[in-house]
Amino acid sequence: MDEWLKQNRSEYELMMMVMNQFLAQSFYPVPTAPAQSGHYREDHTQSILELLSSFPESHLSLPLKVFSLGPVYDPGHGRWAETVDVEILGEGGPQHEVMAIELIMQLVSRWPNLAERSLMVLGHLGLLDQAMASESVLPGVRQQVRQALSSGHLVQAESLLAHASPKTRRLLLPQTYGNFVDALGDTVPEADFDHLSRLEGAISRHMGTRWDLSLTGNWPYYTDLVFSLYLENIGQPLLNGGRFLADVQGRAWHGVGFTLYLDPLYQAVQQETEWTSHDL
Amino acid sequence: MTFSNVTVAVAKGRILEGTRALWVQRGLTWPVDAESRKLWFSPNALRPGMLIARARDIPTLVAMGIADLGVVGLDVLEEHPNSQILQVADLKFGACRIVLAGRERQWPAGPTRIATKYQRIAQAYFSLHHHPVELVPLSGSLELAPVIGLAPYIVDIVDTGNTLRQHQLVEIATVMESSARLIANPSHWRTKPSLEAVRQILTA
Repeated sequence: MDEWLKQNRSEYELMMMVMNQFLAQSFYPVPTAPAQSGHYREDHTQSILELLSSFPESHLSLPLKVFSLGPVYDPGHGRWAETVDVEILGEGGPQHEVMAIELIMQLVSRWPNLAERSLMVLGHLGLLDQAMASESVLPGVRQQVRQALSSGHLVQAESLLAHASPKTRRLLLPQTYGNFVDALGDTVPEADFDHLSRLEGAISRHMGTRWDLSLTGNWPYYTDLVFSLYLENIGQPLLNGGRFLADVQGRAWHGVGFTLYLDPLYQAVQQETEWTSHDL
Repeated sequence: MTFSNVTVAVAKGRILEGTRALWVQRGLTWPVDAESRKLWFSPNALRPGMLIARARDIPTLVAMGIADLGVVGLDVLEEHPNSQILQVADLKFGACRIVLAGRERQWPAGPTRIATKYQRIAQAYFSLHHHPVELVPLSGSLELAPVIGLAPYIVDIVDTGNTLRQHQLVEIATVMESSARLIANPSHWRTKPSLEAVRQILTA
């Protein structure tokens, strides 16, 4: 029992440490309910935006940095996952993408070995759409490709893009930044390469990256950059996020957000602690 | 090319047989001894590890990261969707169809009772055709349903059609076509260096 109690304590200490980091960076906590209208919460963002939308628009001062803590339901596995959801709200667009990435890097860098064992995978819905448009893929088919990718049907997406050039299709595979921009330069020469380079630079100082336009994020409200942080040999993401535009109660919310999964983070931190104590 | 830290989960039955052919064709040592009842073969320098499991457990094993890759029929993936896996290749074997069958080759007239073990696929199909149905869930021996008066129609998987003929049933419509799919854990697919070789084979 002692072991179990100690483990619970360690998990809560980690959660508090994460909370304190966001509080120190001027993020405001927003409490959200785990169930609403008979449905379990699968995502905090919608709940946060519903609460904020209940205030008059004149009360809002953007950008607004908020976070929400608590479990989300995973219907695929029929289980709850403890999470922290972080949102930078406002029309900052690319600037907020960099801000979110830097925030994540600051957090993960607290455990140097953890960063070394992590890999950030980045996708981009805007670039995906531009790449398909450059191949004259019709808007309806582009939508089908996006739906196929978001539900993991790479076979179907590949089949819908059968007539696209091999370079464009290769954008749907994970690859290094260098290879990605080479392929992208041929397909979407008008892409904002300076911004992509800023993002890559912000991450690569701490960990490796892979760029892969087949990554489209879990939610339909994503519009541009999407990202997932993975740990070596752990089959679950440590966090998922992206830039979004969500229409809630008639109000358009722009922002960049991410969901941090505390269980895999705790496992990874525990492994790091064990390794460090071995080294000593 | 090394697969020493790669594990593949394969569905029992026809899919396992098809996987064997593909596996051997790639020059890999097939780990399963015909006499053996082992279901787990750890990876080694000559081949990936293998897990043999029930078809509907394969997506779970892959989603949870226990296996990096999985081989399972599209029919299983459609009936038990799992948003935490990637379908990365159509392996072009294990072809079969899910069909609507009955005693006469005639589309059901009016609201109809249909026995099936593919409730999700059948519901989607009849919704698409705006046809009202009552689905009776069965887990096997579907061909008996029209014979014993449980339901005049069935939605079931067919390979050669022999079983249907033996029960005096005929195909009325193809609901979906299926074949073996290679599925992957998204995390491992996007980050594990040893899966790069698999990606190259698929894109070659």
